[in-house]
Amino acid sequence: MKRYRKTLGIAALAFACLGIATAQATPTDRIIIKVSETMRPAVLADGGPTPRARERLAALSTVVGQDVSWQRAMSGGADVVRLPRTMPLEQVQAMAAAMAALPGVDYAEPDVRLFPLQVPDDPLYAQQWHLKPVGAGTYGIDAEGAWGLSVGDAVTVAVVDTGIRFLHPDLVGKVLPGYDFVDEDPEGVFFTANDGDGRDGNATDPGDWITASEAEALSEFGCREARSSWHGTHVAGVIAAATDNAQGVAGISRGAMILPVRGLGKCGGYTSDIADGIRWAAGVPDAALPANPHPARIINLSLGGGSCAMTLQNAIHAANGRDALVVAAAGNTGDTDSPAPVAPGSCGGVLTVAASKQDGTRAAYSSYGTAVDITAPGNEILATAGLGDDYPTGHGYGFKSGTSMSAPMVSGVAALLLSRNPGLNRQTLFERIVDNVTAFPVGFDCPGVDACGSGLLNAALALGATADPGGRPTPLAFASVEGVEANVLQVSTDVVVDSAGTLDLSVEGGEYSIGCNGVFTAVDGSIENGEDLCLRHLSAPRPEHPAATVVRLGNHRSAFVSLTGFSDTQPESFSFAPQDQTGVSETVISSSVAMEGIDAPAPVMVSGGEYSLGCGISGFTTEPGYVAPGGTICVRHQAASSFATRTVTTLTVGGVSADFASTTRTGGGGGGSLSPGLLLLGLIYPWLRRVRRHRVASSRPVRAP
Amino acid sequence: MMRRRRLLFGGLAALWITGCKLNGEPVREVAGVLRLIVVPVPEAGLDPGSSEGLDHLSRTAGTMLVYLRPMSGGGHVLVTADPVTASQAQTILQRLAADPVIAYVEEDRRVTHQSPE
Repeated sequence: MKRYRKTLGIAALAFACLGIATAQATPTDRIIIKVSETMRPAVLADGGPTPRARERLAALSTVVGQDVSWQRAMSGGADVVRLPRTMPLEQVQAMAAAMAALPGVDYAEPDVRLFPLQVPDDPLYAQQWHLKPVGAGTYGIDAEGAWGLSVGDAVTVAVVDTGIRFLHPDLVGKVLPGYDFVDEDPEGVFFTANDGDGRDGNATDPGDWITASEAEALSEFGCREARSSWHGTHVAGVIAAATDNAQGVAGISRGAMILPVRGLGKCGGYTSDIADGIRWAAGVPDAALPANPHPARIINLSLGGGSCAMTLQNAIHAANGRDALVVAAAGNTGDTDSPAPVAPGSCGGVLTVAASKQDGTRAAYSSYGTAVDITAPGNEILATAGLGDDYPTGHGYGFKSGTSMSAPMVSGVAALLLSRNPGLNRQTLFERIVDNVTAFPVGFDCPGVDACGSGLLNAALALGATADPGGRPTPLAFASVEGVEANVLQVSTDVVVDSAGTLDLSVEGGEYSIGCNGVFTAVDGSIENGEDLCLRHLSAPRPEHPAATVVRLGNHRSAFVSLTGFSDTQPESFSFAPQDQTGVSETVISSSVAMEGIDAPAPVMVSGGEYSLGCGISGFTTEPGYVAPGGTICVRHQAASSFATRTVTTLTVGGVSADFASTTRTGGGGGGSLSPGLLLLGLIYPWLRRVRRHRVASSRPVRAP
Repeated sequence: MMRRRRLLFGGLAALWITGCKLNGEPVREVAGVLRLIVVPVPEAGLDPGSSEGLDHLSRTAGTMLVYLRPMSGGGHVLVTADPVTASQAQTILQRLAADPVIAYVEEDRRVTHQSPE
């Protein structure tokens, strides 16, 4: 029996070790040093080093070029000494080697911090090089090391971008209700918005494709023919894709909540819309903006162009005033004649990010200059994406490159940092990120001094340099609910709080109940260990949209999300009254038809003519687009160039089609325009009359005088 | 005589097609509607959203402006009623910037995402 138990114990230990996978060393700020007894930093009764020990510490400091302090004695006769800050392991190893070379030192080695490797089970994780530790020629951000300290809780990260695909399976339950700031183009045209209307609470990405004819017609915007990018969905996934859920990809801060702020549409977006989006995201109170129930501490701007002007700069300053860290892509002008970062990356108050490749070298397209604060992976980044070259056809994953991908790397790490210590202010966040980096590898070609920032982003280093203030419960998890009806109260399941003591409590976007007894409130309060907690909110008014209550308990944040059911983009049947007896080649416009029965923007396509949203308010177009709920459409075409001929325009909305037909009048009269025959008669009639008078005059007999 | 007339009309037509003016100015630039952001000096009394304010801005700009909407930070978005060339746009912006009741004015430029295909 005793042998059996021993065997079991050994087996259990073996399984436990296997379960940890491989331990991994991370950067450190400590060195273990063993000196001969005469050299050892001796201690006083109060534990401080003796004067001779201070001299020896001074010698250590001199040889490594850093202020070395004595930490403590350890077993085996060694001591732990401390560096002024956490440094990359290679650097500390070099310092230890220098110490070991001093006379009287038996050995010196980094006091390495060990974590179990946090390798998630997402099937596409192996292709996400950017999350991996530095090693074997790969210069990732070492998210695995960071996850040993924090996997992220419900910190809000605003993504000012093209919008988002709310139903992506790796993002469901992780997206807050956002806002669409893409306004109408002048004269009631919705080309940029591409969703049939202007600003509203619908931050869905409808697709931003550009057809060849659109690119040609709008060359002033500098657009090129392009498929839909699903850019915002990709950026969001880099930051916060659901992780370790046996599906898709991993995100950097799996607990983060994405606040989608739509500011880009077809061919980009206007500075005025982006600036409004930045202020709104930060919760800046402004009469021109709707209220934001979920202000963000981190705002990601994977966009840009031109130089920094007052509008963007003022918006960024306003966001800074709300203690929001604004993270911006440096730009992709690195291989042009103007390689300096573009706005907003070139603005003040921004953490500007350049792009690196898997081997740690600078991506050739990445902008560079003194405005760059840090470099992060930006090449061949795999994350969430929409499917469809134009309209969305589904959800998937895709690779993208650009400084657009580098900025969310930093935003994700910032979210991890705020999860570990929510008390970090904007400036401290900034410094924690840029001060704890992987040194640029040999061969990193930055064309300019201090033009690529402080180094390569390192999540593990940044987290390792951040103390955990505690003050949080065991992480709470409120299961999200899907397919709910719109505008209906949703109540979460109850969660029992497991904490060391009393925690302050506050909510945004809803109410809470302690005890789950039906009594809810939004007033700040506190909660004790062992108490039940429920959350509630009104579900979203729009289909396929989230509503969320975010609760803060001490230094922990969690969210309860509900998602309304599927949208209906198939209108009730509609028709156009035919027009008969039209003039030849006349422009014929149908009556205006209201699209009934849709609750989300519905795809619009036309053949054999043009259509207009709002009929006359916006222009006529042949390009595919959307009509918003409550919108009206008319169509037009040029009537046939011959009599009694029918012309047909077919309009298709959400899969429902209707024809508009016109028929030219029969020939020879009627109508409002002269027929060619009548016109000819009118022209020759005066000549005919002159001919007739001459003939009459000639035929009359001449009278004799 | 007829031959000379044909040459004259043909030449004028060619000049018109190329955009040259008879007084020898450079080729006409491509024109487009200018969209701009105007931020009045606080408490200067200028409300671009009012008819009086819009009239003032149009006179200052030297061209008719159309009001689109207010924006955050005390700004307003307007567009020119007619297409203007790049040089005309520059002139409009300079005129408005010189107005003491305007804190600043800039073109409402388009920006794009930073992940080109």
